[in-house]
Amino acid sequence: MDFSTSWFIIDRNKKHEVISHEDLSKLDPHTYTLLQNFKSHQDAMSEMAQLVKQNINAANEKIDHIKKAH
Amino acid sequence: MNNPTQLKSGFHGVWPDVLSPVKADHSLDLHRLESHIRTLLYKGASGVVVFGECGEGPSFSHDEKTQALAHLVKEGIPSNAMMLACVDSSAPEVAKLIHLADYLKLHAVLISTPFYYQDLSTDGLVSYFDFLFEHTQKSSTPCYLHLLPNKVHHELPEAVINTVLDKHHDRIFGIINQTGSSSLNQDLLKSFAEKVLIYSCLETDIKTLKSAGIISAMANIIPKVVLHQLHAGEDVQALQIPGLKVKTSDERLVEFQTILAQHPSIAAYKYLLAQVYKNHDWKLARPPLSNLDSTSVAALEKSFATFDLHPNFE
Repeated sequence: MDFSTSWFIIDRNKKHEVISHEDLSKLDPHTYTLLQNFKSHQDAMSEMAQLVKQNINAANEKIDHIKKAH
Repeated sequence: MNNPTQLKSGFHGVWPDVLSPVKADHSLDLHRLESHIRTLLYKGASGVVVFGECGEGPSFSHDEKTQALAHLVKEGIPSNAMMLACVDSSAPEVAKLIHLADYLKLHAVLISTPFYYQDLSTDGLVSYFDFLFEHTQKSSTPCYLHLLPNKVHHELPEAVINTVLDKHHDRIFGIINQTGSSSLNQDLLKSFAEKVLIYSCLETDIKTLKSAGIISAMANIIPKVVLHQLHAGEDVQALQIPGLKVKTSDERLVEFQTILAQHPSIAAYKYLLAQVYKNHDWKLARPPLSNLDSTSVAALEKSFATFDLHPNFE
């Protein structure tokens, strides 16, 4: 299967990034964590938006929890 | 040991028994399924088994399976990189799935014994397989006899396997043992290794069986470790994982197996995949399965943290 036009979500410096196959191949594999592979940039961005939304929800839940505790 | 020169050419490499992601309404999430398969192929899997044991096959309808496979092929997943597990109790429904696999030119189909609520006779089981092969005569899709855990599936007795192999040898490429029994692997090798290829789904048995391929549940999470183990053969090399004490793939598989042993397997795999992909939606199982309870989650998170997964290398 040809992955040269694939897009990836990676975790680097505690942040999610959408990156092309070409750019990914230039990175040192010790400097990031590969999450998932997508057919298109749009698909990767759509997943990225979901991940960000989930992180915001998780942060809000933590804040609510702290508020209740005080 | 199988001798492929005398037998049909079976599948090679690691084929994850792919998990099926569902949405909050429990419908199949086609986009996440596609992305998961794409990621596994990128990490070195030769292909995937869809709607198998880990893929909650019995929970999905024929229409859902058709729609999913059509979507995957349309989105560029190579059809010859997919095997379809045909789990059903109705022979006509299984025949339809074989036709579907043939139409889509899938790599192969896995055919198991039906679910049933009373004991099945040898004659009954042989007739069941006769029906399937007679009603799919024009199909050129390779078939594998798929042995599943006895608690949910009827055992496939040796006598039935023998008869079915003799009658339908042109269609059956191998036997896949997914019962979880190592001793059954040895029995199958003794009885049928001259006739067909024998595959085990136990990752820790790869070396013993020396088969060219494996259908693996663990490969959903650690495909590269399973791949390493498959290709390492007798001479297992240590895995070079940065920051981790040097370990063999054997040891990593046993560690992983120990983590999972305490939990309902499919829900646990999904939970771990949610951690790997950092997407909570992966935690959802489809009824009648349930998501992991809070006690299991706490225990699983603790042991998985100790496992210290390195997704780029494992």
